[in-house]
Amino acid sequence: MKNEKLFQLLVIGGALLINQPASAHETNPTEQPVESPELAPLVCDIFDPNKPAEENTCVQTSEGEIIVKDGFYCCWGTACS
Amino acid sequence: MTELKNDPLMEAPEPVFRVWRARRTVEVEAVHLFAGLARSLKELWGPKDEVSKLAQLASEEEREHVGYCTKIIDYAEVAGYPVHVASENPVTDWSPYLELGPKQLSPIDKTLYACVAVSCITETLSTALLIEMLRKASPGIIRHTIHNVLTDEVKHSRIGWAELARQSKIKKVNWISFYLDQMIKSAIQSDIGPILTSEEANLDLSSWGILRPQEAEKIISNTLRNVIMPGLAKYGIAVSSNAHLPIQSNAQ
Repeated sequence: MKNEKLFQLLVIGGALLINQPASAHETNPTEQPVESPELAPLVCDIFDPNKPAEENTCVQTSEGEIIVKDGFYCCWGTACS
Repeated sequence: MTELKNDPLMEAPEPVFRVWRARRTVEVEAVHLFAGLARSLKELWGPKDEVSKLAQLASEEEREHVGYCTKIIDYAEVAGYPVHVASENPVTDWSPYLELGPKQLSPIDKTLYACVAVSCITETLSTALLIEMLRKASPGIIRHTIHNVLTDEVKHSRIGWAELARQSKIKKVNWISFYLDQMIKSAIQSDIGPILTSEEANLDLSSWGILRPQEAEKIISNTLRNVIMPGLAKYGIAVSSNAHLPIQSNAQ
C-alpha cells in the first residue's frame, strides 16, 4: 500500500473518529514536560523471576530493578543477532 | 482453509515457530496495554466514549491474536519439533493493566503518551509490515492469521490518531516530542533479545509470515518517515533528531 494511502487510512481515518467537542473529566495537564525524567520503577505484578525472560512483560535490569517501558515493541518485524 | 496435512505450515522450519512464539508474548502484552488504555480513556471521557470502547475491543481482539499465535505454535509438535511447554492460558485474568511512560505525567498526558506509543507508532508500523507479510504468505493458516490480524491492527492504529486529534483540540500536545525518540526505539528494538540467528535471518521465511530483517527495516524506516512522522507533525510533534530512526539498508 502506498504511503499516502496508509496515511489517509490510519492518520486521517483515526482523526475522523472524533466528531464531538472534547471535554475531558481530567484536563489538568502536566504544567511543563519534565526536563530530565527518570524512569520510575513500575510495579509489575505479572513479572515472575521464575519465568523465562520472554514470557515476562516487564523489564528487569541486571541489578534486579524493574523499569518502566517507554514504548511497545512491534513484533511483526524480525529480530536477529 | 486447507486441511492440516496440506497446510504449508507442516513444512515450516523450526525458526518459524520460534518467531511466532515470541509474537504471542508481545500480543499478551497488547491485551493488557489496550485494557489499560480503555480504562484510562473511560475515566477521562466518560463511559460512553467511543474511543474507549474501541480500545476495549482492541484488547479483546489482541486476545484473539494470542489464540491465532497459539494455534500456529501448536503445529510445531505436529511438524515434529520440540515443543516449548507454555501456559495453556497465557492471558490470565488476574494480570493487572499495564501502563507505559513516566509516572510523573498527569492522567490525561499519560493517556496520550500510551496512545501515541502503542497506536500511532507501534500499531501503524504493524499495519505496514502486515500488508507486506500478507502479500507474501502462502494460503493456509498463516495467511488467514495475517489477514485477520491486519484487519484489527488498522483499527488499533486509528485509536491513537483519534485521541491525538481530540486532545490537540483542547491543549498543546507537542510535549510528546520529548519522549518520541525513546518510544520509537522501544517499538523497533525488542528487549527480549534476538529471535533468529544471522544465518536464519537470511532464509526466505516469507511463506510463513516472516520478513527478512533487511526488508522489515526498510518498511519500518519508510513508514516512520512517510506516515508516522508526518502524522505527528500535523499536531506539532517532531522527533528531536533522526538518531534513533533505522537507517535504510542496502538490498543484498
